[in-house]
Amino acid sequence: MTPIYVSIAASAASILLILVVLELIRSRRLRERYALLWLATGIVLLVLSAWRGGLNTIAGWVGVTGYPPAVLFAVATLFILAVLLHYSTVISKLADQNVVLAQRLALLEQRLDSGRTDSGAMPSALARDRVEDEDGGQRKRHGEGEVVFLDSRDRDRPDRVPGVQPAPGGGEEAAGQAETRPSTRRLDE
Amino acid sequence: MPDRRRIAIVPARNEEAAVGRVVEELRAFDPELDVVVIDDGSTDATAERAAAAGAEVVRLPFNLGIGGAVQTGFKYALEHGYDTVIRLDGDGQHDPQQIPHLLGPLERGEADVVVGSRFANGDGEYKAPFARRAGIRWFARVVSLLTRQKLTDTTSGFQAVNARAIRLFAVDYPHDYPEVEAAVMVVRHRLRILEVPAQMRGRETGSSSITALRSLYYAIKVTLALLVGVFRRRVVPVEE
Repeated sequence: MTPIYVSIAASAASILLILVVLELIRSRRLRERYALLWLATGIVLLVLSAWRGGLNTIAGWVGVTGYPPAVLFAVATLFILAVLLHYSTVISKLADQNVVLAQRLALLEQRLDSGRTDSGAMPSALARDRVEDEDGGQRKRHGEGEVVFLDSRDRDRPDRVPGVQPAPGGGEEAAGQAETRPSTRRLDE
Repeated sequence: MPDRRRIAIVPARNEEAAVGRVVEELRAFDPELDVVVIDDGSTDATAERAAAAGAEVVRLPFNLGIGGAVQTGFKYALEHGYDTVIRLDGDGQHDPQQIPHLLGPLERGEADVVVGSRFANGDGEYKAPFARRAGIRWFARVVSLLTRQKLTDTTSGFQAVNARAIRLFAVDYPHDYPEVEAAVMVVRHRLRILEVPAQMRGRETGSSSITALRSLYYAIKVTLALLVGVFRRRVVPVEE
């Protein structure tokens, strides 16, 4: 038979798990969708902890004769495996969607930029990168440091090049360049 | 009141066979009514059909689910300054001819959200799989309890929403079966929700996105959301 203190401690832990999950839903830090498996874990563990006779019976079924609480560990482990596996599928889906979002954003940005260039406004950093593409990727660019793009992969990823900050200020810099080099703007169209 | 700006929000996922007619019916019903179709990651020609029929189309890059799609519509309405939203499904089960029934209470200031109910007049015969009917009845009971108000058709997506509710929904709108949770949310925010009888047609094409086993899953999930939702802090709607 399970020692009574083990039952009490396990029940308390299960209740704590359930309460924490409910509080996380309440404060909007956990969506119901992802909370359900945790709640199921908590409820099953609570039932097995509090219902001592049941735990004994199940331990008999699976051949655990010496120490019934071992079944608790096994069940908890199984549920944690299930949660982890579920999260792996969720992360995979998020990663896929992230790709779709980035592509969509890039395409939209491109469309906005070409629209602005057509109307005579300034092209952004994105447009400038395409302009440099026409030059074969060898142009020197003046930024926070002088950078020479030797490899087209590095040019596409300015954040990989030491000394260049990818985002802030890039737009202004591009604007200045565009004004001094009107011919390159036409290339873009 | 012609100076009111109204828009119909039509969420649609893979409804190429029906969505064109929905938009055409809406435009025939009221040529002044703007229509925006939220294409929820369709893999068919839903967006093209909707645009060809004269709707504005917002294409979501992937499937967000009905809640995310409808909320996109509310955000669109807010950004473009509409003060009344009519929400109906893209599968053709909601008849635009019924819209005046929904708008009436809204314009008389009797409610902030008006829901077209299949059951409100009692004689609504509704053919649906057992699991679906059971789910609808269960939600009706839970929601009526939580809102202390008799609501019969809490999953109905045929609604009219005024500016106050638009400002709320643009900030916070539930995910699956959003209408169920939204009903409770609306009441918690001291907005008024009202059901009016509305006849609905059977689905013309396509299949409902809900199967029996999923119904059970959603029933548990949405019930959990409803009960926990009662203890949630309220969000702050967009300022006027």
